[in-house]
Amino acid sequence: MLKLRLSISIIAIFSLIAGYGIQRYLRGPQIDERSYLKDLAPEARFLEKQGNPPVYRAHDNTIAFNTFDVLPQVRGYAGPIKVMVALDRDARILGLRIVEHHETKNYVHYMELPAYLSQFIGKYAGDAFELDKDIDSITRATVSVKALADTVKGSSRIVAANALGKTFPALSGTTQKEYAWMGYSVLFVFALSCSLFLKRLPHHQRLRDASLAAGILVIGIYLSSPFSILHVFNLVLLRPSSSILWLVIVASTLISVLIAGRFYCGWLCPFGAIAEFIGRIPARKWEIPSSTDNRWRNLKYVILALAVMLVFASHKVEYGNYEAYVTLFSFHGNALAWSLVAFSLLANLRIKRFWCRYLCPVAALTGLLSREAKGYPSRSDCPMQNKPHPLISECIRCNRCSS
Amino acid sequence: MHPVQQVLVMNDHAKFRTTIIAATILIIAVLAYSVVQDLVLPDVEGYVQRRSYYERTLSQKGLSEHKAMYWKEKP
Repeated sequence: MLKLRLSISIIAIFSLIAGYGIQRYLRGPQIDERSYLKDLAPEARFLEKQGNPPVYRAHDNTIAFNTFDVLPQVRGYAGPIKVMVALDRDARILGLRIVEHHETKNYVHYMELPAYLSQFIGKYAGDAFELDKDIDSITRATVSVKALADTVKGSSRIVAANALGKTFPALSGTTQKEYAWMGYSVLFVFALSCSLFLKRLPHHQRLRDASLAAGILVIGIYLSSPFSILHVFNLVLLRPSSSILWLVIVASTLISVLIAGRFYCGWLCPFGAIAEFIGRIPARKWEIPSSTDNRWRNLKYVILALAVMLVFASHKVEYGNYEAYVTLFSFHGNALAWSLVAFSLLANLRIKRFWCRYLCPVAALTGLLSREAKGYPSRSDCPMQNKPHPLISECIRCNRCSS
Repeated sequence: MHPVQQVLVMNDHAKFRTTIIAATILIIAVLAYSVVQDLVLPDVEGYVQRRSYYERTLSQKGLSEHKAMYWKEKP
């Protein structure tokens, strides 16, 4: 385990250094803003960018700007969403284009379509831009869409006030309350408390089943936010989200790994839950020799190392997106990704928790961070098919053998 | 022996190995496709569009195909 931790750390560090090198020396400027101006306002002839905040101004008083220059603090699920916006002299939106973002493509592909962006056109900078009223929300991409609406609204108001002399009533704080993080927190605390303090209860496993079912319904289907290796990649690349839900998911999972190892995998992970429930269907399970099982469990670390290399060297988080649960719960993916989902789920009929044991990058990460602990001798009905006294990094804390 | 019969008589160990190798190949394909989709496919798509436009319209007027190398002329 120590060797694995060391190898993956070295790969991560070298990839990060290589990535920064590539970014700095090999790539040109990321955004050619002028190339967007003709699309946004074809009639306008823009002068050079100037002023504070910096804007492109045309002779007919049309204004174009990059929202990131005006409101860099508004962030989506993976850092800022940079949008080029053009306003006419009456502070109405003439056009807009998303020029850069690092959101997970599975969730936000609709947001980038011209048909979706066209609903911003004609809006006055002083409008409310409320989701589901003025702007359509996108299921499973609420945080990203809200960030897009907020960044366009906020920056348009600032630019219209400074460059066009418009006045607006002060914003009354957050227009949409986000309670999702509270629901997630309640579920997380409930599951962690049950796992740590109610081991001796006779119906402990029923509590766990309830927690797994809640994981599927709340984390998987309702929030569409299972903890993913993409969260960690964004964190390491310094692109955290400003969403409270994002922060709660990342902080709670990483802290729980330190306290209780792979507790998240055993109690809350919606994909693990589905895998486990499929594995309970009475079908003969394949008998895998212990040595083979142990050898192949290292595969998830190799795949994680490959993903780390791809993401950190390119600084593109989407290159490391192969997680079956991201495809499943975002309801978006290409044919290959969906094949992987179907394959990983069907395999559970013959091999218990197939994805969790051999392939899952979150399992690999939590395994790397898990501390050594005793008291989990394993038994024949172990959902991970662990042998007696397994490595604690392979134990998902179902508590069958310790209660 | 027919390939289907060969699979049916495989022991659990062999079936497991086949399953996990297939899953690994799928994962590598998913990762590779993400990179190819981002880096290569837009260029291929652009080339096919330019070529198609050249074949349909430009060649009949005796004009040359656009090389789309304008980005190299930038300072």
